[in-house]
Amino acid sequence: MVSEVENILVEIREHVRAEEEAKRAASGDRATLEQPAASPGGLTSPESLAHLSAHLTTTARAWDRLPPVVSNRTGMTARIELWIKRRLKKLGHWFTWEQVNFNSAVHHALVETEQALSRQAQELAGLRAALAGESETRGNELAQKEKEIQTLRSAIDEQARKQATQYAQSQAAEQEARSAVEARLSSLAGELRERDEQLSAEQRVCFKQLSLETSEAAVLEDRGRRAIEARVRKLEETRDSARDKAADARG
Amino acid sequence: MAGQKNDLYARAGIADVGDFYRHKFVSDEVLDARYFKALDRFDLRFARTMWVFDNIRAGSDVLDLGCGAGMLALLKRKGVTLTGIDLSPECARAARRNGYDATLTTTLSNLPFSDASFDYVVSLDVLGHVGFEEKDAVLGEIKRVLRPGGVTMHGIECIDRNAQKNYEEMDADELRRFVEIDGHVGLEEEQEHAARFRRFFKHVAWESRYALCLSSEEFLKQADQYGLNYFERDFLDYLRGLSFKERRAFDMAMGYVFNKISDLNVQLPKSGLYVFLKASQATLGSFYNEHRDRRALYSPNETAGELACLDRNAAVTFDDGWYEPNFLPPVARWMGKCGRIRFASSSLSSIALDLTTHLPDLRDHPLRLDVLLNGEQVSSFMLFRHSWLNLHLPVPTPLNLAAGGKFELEIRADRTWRPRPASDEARDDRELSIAVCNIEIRSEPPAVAGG
Repeated sequence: MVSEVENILVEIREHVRAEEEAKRAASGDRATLEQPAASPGGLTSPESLAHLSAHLTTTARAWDRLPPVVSNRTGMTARIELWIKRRLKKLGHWFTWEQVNFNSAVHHALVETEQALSRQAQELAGLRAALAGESETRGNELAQKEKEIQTLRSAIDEQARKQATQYAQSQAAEQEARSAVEARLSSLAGELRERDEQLSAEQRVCFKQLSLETSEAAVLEDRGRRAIEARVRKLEETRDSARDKAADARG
Repeated sequence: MAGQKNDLYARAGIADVGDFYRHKFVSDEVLDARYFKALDRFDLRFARTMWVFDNIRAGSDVLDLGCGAGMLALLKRKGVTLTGIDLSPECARAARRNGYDATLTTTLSNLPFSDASFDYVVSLDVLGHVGFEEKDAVLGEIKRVLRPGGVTMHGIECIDRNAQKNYEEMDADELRRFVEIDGHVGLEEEQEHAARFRRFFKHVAWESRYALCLSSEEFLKQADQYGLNYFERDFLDYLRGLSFKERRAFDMAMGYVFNKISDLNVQLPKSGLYVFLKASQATLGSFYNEHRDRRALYSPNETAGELACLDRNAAVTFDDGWYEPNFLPPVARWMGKCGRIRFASSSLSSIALDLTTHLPDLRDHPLRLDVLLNGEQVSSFMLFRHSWLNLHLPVPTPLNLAAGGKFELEIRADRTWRPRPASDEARDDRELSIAVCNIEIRSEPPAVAGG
């Protein structure tokens, strides 16, 4: 009986130490790790469950235990006392068993509650882990997206710079082309003017050549006509002379 | 020929015969009789023309079959009415420009003239281009359009079957190369041509020509293109090395001999190259010089009183510093580094002329020109642009009085250029400076002072 009590005390001491160590560890972890927030009542926190589990260890062991019938007296008084206690024990047996039953019910209800809470805590931990995983995935994705956005932004910036450069170049090229076109137009205009002048000069010379040829032809025609007229006159004179001679001969 | 299926042309890959002849025979050369220099009668280029010229009656009607650019334009000096027909409209236009009275684009086998329209029907280098299946139709048409007593004269390319293959013996490639040279699809031997004419005309006479005298170009063409091996290789190499002026001198010498052979009526052996042929229903006169009268070649053109244009005047001498007239337009003569013009005029008060140059880089290097009259400098100037310049030169009275009616106008240029590269097929290495035309002289009496 004494050793049993000692054991209980040892267990209680170890349990208190374990709790203190757990508290220290928890406070140390909080400093470095961000723990998920405890529920408002603290019932689902690991510490609470640990407390509950420790208490349930005690209740599991002690819910049907009754205090032993002992006496600190000696002698007769002691025997009387023990006798009375035994009689009282028998008389209060129904009450005791009711209490034991109640203890049992409470203990088991608490065990089940603890188990439910543990499952819930596990589920919560699972969910938390899933959430953490999801969060990490999302975070990674977000980081990836940010990286991509950064890359895209760099590309866009590069493209914008290129476009700006190209625009500047095209502006310069356009300006250059405009200048070249204007110069070419000016040159063409000059060339055209020169060709026009050459063509005019060529036409002038051609017309002059035609004019000279025409005047030559006109002179030749005039001389030919006059030669023909002279021959006709000569023929007429010959004819008249012959006619006169014939008339003279007849006369 | 156009429009008719000619198997040899087709086999030679010539689809458009008119176009083929346009590329072969259209030129801008000036054949206008008014620009003909008397000395050109010795040029072998005009040897065939001179044969016709000496065989036609002045004032007659002449039809030139296949007139080309107008090789018979010189006949206008004899006052003939000259009509030309050709396959190519461009050739017809060129002949018209060179003085033909009328030119038409038509085929030889369907002449658009009524019967008995011409005193002479002439062709030079044409019947060798008429396919065998068409020759009789052409001769029939010639006979139809000739007047009674009319004469037909032809210069015909021939073939020497001992030296060259028949058309039937040539493979496709040989035929293509042969026809592409000149378009000859109807070459026959000399006696075969004569025999064909005898079927249509009572009187036919023919003479082999070009057995001795060929132009420098023709020597090279016969050797290089037709593959004739009559000629010595070193002689051909010598001809290849001749300059433009040397070639002209060679051709003049050859032409002189050619004319003398005609004048002396020397019978030449068969040449296998060419034949002169005359045919008529009437009795033929002499083969050469039947109507020889060359006065028109020398007599000066009549000109108008105080104004005369020297360009077309036969009495004016353009020395060797000038090249033959070219149709630029206008018709103008190119000059080398120095050219002289000799002419006679009772009095001379001014000279006017138009000149131009095609010299490159004229702006940077103007062309210096000096004009001298009877050795006295009358003008000097720099030409710095490509355009026609009208130059008017008053003649100092003392110079006019001292000339005694004889003048020599000399133009000197300080540089020349060669318009064609030395590698040019035409081997034209002429050195040119300026082109001149419309050279007018005025002989106005000196103005009275205070008048």
